[in-house]
Amino acid sequence: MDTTKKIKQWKAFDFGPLTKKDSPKSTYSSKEINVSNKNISKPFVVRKSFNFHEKLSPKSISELAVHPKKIQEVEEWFKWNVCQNKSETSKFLLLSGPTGSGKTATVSVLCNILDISISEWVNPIDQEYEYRGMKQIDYFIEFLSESKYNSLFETSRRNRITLVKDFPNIVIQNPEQFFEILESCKYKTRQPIIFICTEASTARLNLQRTLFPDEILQKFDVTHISFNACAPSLMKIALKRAQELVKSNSDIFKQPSSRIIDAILASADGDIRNAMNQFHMATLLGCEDLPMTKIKSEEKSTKRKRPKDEHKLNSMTKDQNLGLFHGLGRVLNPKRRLIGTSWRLSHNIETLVDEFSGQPQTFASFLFENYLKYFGDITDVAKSAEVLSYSARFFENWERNETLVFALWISVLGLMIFNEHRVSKWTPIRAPTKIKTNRIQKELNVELNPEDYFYYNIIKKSDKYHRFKLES
Amino acid sequence: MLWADKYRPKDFSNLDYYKEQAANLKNLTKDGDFPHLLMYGPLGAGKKTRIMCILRELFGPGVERLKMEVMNFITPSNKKLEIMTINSSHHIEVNPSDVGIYDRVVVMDIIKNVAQSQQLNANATRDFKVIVLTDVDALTKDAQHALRRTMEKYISNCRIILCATSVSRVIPAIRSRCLCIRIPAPTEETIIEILQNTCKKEDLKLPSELAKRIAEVSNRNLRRALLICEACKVEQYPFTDNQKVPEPDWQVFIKKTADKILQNQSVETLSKVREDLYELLTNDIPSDIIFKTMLGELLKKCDASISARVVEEAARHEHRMAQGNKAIFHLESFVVKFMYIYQSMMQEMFAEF
Repeated sequence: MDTTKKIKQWKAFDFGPLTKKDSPKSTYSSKEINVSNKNISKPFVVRKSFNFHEKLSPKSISELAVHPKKIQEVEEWFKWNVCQNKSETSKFLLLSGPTGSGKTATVSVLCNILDISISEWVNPIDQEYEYRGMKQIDYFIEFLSESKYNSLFETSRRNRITLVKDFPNIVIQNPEQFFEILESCKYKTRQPIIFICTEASTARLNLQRTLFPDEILQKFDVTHISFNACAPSLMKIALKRAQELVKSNSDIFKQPSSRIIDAILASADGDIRNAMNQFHMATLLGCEDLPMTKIKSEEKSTKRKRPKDEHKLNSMTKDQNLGLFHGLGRVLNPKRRLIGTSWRLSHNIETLVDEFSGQPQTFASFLFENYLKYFGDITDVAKSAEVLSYSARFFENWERNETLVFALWISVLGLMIFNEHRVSKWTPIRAPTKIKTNRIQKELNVELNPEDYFYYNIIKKSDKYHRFKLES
Repeated sequence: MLWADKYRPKDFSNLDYYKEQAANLKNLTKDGDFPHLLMYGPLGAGKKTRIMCILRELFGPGVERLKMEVMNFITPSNKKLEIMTINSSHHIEVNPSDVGIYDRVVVMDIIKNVAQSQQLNANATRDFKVIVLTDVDALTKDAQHALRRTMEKYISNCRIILCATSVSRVIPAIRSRCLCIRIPAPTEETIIEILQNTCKKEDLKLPSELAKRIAEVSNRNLRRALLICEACKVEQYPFTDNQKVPEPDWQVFIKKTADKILQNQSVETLSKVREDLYELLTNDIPSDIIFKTMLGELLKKCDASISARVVEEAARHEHRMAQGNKAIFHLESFVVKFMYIYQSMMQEMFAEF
């Protein structure tokens, strides 16, 4: 009796206002409810039950839109570390890559094939706040170390892995704690753990950088496989598969035009998930064609063969990710736009600096190595060099990232603003010169300063030390 | 063996100059103990010689049986470091700045290692070991702070002798924990005298005119004076009065670079100058010496009206350079600044005509 009451109240939510149900409670049987439920949802039943994405999600290796070599790499890791019961295996795998490059899909497909069950960590919602009861982090540790028990639903599978995609917040704020957890996991857990990190452009969000620095990778013997953005050719194949699916279900979907398919391919930028979502949207019945904008076709680059009118979907634009060379180009070749009598820099400096805030020193030394070639006047160089010299001072305080970013700001702005006589010609970007001192083995009872090597060369008539070339 | 090492005085009584200071140092070690020392003075003034004299006074001739040893360290980030040390059974000498920014690890580990190993030898003369750290002014701030703490902690069974060219880059906390001893460069007369004595020991006849010129070129650096003298002998013997005294190649190199700067002030010249600077730096010529030589050469040839401004800029850049470890940024910045000042002066001059 009690249970039926509960059910009824639960179902009542679907039916609408309570006032309509004035009949005695006991007369409802669960069967009746089911029947009425079906009746109501009938108009939608077809579309609801058709899960487009589930149908489309890859089931076999051939369907994955990932480079075969990558899949093989991951597969080998699985075979070696999960399927074989060896004692000396690496316990951790780190998968990284941009969004929609097929990291999770690869793992789930491979696990299906190799008969491995996955238990995935999902951040619980903190209802009990930090000071009461167990913290999120405790649950996390518990999950990682005690997930040795079989799932209640699947018992047959022998091998299990743990998947962590969703990192607890506290770990992001304070990576030290994460390293401790890894340390304890290394000894406690029996099943391998897979971490999946999505690459992000900003330094603070880049989990792979904060949680898995190189020394941690080495220390805990973490295998690192990094995925590349989905290649256009692979994406094309995947979209073809989707088109076939649409064809076979033409009663509920419309076939999108080839122009739209091309536009999706052009604007997906290696993100297969996004591409699929767009495709799904384009196939919906009763929708107009997705809005598109034409890409500015560059007249200069006649060498490259590209279709004349390329379009991009408006809904698919996302934050652009600048490469190092692109970023250097922006700083060294600053574009200006005039506003009345004054001018502004035409690019957003903040995003530019933010992009490289992960490794400010590297970026600054690249700038220093290359900036001379873009300057046409010694007065400008004097100002910029002064700014670089200032910022080099700040780069010494490498304990705090904030200072480094500040120094990066100074050098970027200095170089962009003082470059009044810009030289625009193509010059190759050079990597920063490394000053590696040629420390020559010391000799016992011979004390020499580098300034005196010259005399040593004369006295011993040797070429042991470098001779400066003086003729020119 | 080089003359400079061959004829190096081994104990206090053989020292050629600063006899009074030598007597004081001898007194300091009379009781068999001494505080941490910080020896500072220009290159080739005799800091190392005096340190060895102190050690010999304390431990006897055993300190002269030296051996080279490579020590290994592991940084907290698991990077392996190798560093060359020179040690006897009583002391260990190391230049921590050989490993660059990891010097902190070296400083701490060496002191801990030495301090924790007790002298096993029952008839050892002293119950402490001596650690000689050279080029202390090149240590990072981090390492200096680490040194300050460890220095205090392990005073019971080790003594530290620090060796630096200038105390200005040694943090006050370390300076106050040491007895600071300054060894000034010897005068030219002293150098001439020593050169003559050395040549006499080698059975050579050194004309006084040549000795004077060598002393001048050596810039009051005794070690260099002896090296020049030996180089002269290799190049031409018997000596003549007007014999060519070889000038170090890097010095000539900097002169050439300075000429380039004065000839043409343009971005192209600057990139050539940068290459020159890189060459100097990769061959271990200390950045402050490059700076000083360069400034000297530039000032020689530029108009008096701008020299005040040039020196002011030099001072600012040198200060920044001394604080950091990216010398090339500051050197280049100074060069451009000079070019700018020089060029604007020339333009003004032409405008007047």
